[in-house]
Amino acid sequence: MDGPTAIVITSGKGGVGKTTLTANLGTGLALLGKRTVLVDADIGLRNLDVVLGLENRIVFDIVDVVDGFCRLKQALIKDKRFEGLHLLPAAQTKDKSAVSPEQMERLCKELKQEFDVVLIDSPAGIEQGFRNAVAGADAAVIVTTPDVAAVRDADRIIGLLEAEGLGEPRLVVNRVRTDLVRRGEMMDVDDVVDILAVDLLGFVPEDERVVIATNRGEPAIMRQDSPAAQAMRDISRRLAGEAVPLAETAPPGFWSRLRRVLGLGAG
Amino acid sequence: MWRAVRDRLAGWRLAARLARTRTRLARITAYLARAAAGLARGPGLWRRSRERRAGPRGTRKRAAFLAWVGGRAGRSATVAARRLRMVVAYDRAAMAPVLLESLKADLLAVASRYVDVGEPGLQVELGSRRGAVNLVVTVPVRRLERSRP
Ligand SMILES: Nc1ncnc2c1ncn2[C@@H]1O[C@H](COP(=O)(O)OP(=O)(O)O)[C@@H](O)[C@H]1O
Ligand SMILES: [Mg+2]
Repeated sequence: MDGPTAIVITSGKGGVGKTTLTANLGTGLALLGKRTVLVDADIGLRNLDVVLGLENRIVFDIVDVVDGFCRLKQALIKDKRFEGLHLLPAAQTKDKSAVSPEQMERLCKELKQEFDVVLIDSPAGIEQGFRNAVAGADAAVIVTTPDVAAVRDADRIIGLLEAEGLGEPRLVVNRVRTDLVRRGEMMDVDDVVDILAVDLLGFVPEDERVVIATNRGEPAIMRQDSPAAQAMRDISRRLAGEAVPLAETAPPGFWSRLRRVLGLGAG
Repeated sequence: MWRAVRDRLAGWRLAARLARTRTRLARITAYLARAAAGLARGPGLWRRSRERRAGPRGTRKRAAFLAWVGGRAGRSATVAARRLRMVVAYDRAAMAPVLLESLKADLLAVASRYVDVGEPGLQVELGSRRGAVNLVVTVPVRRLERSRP
């Protein structure tokens, strides 16, 4: 990562883990010493604050900032648990048209003067909320789960990102169930990468500890006993520019081992 | 004596595993037998296998073969990936399935001017692999020379 970057976390389909990943990757980047700000661009459906456990500290929000009701500094919430982590919350009572793409662009520029990384949590869909979220971004991360609807929507979003000049998004496949993958009842990460034809940033296994940590308003990424946390720590390091090798999707079974021995590749 | 051994070995899971391995082995043997028969018939198979290595369609065939040998061909993940390849290709080409039907009809008409087409087997498919969209047309030919009306 050279120079400050604004990265949008987006998906097309809702409920695939954008907010969860924004919160956790942001925490991960802060732990790596990056000055990080998380921008909740899901205006009207604010939830990055509760996932982070910062809901009781909101005074101003993003709409107050762009409307000039307060200064940017006043709206930023500093996470006291993690040095360098900040949140710019969404407005809960306004709708998506309360912010324009131009305003978002200006806001991101301003944030990049203060921070190393600006992570933008995008709303689902392809409407104005999406256009706002990508307006100020220099790079995009696409989140999908390994199911047909989410992957199809991700493909649509990749097309739209290209149109917005974000031509080389990186992919996170979330909620991978290794048991189902091994039984051939869930697409594996290679299938998804092959269909979408984008670079893989990483995959995160399905892990109930994510749900439990989120219930408590604690980032799951801190947990040492969680495979999902390990995966998200690796992804944070990749976002920070480190070369971290990808883990196996699933412990190789007999047939994939045989294939590898025979030099037939992953098929 | 045999009973005792079998009882010890049995247990549903082991039996099922063995059965699965047996079908896989049977499939591999059948495939190899067919490949050998093809080789015996002449250079056709060799030429085809070179094409296979070259094209994007080849990787798909190989993937399908591996899925089939591994007993994963009918599994829902394989089905999902195949359906997605189609649907994503349509999305990218912004082509509605009805348009594909009329493309099919046109292709059939054109091909029939030159060869005798076995109509029921005509296949037109959009597929996508590694970002490239391919239009794959399979025209079964009944006779090479078309009888002039
Ligand atoms: N890797 C995971 N394992 C288990 N649950 C997850 C995982 N990632 C996300 N979730 C859960 O999925 C739900 C939707 O996630 P969320 O981040 O709100 O999605 P989005 O922001 O894309 O709508 C939440 O309940 C979250 O806790
Ligand atoms: Mg969300």
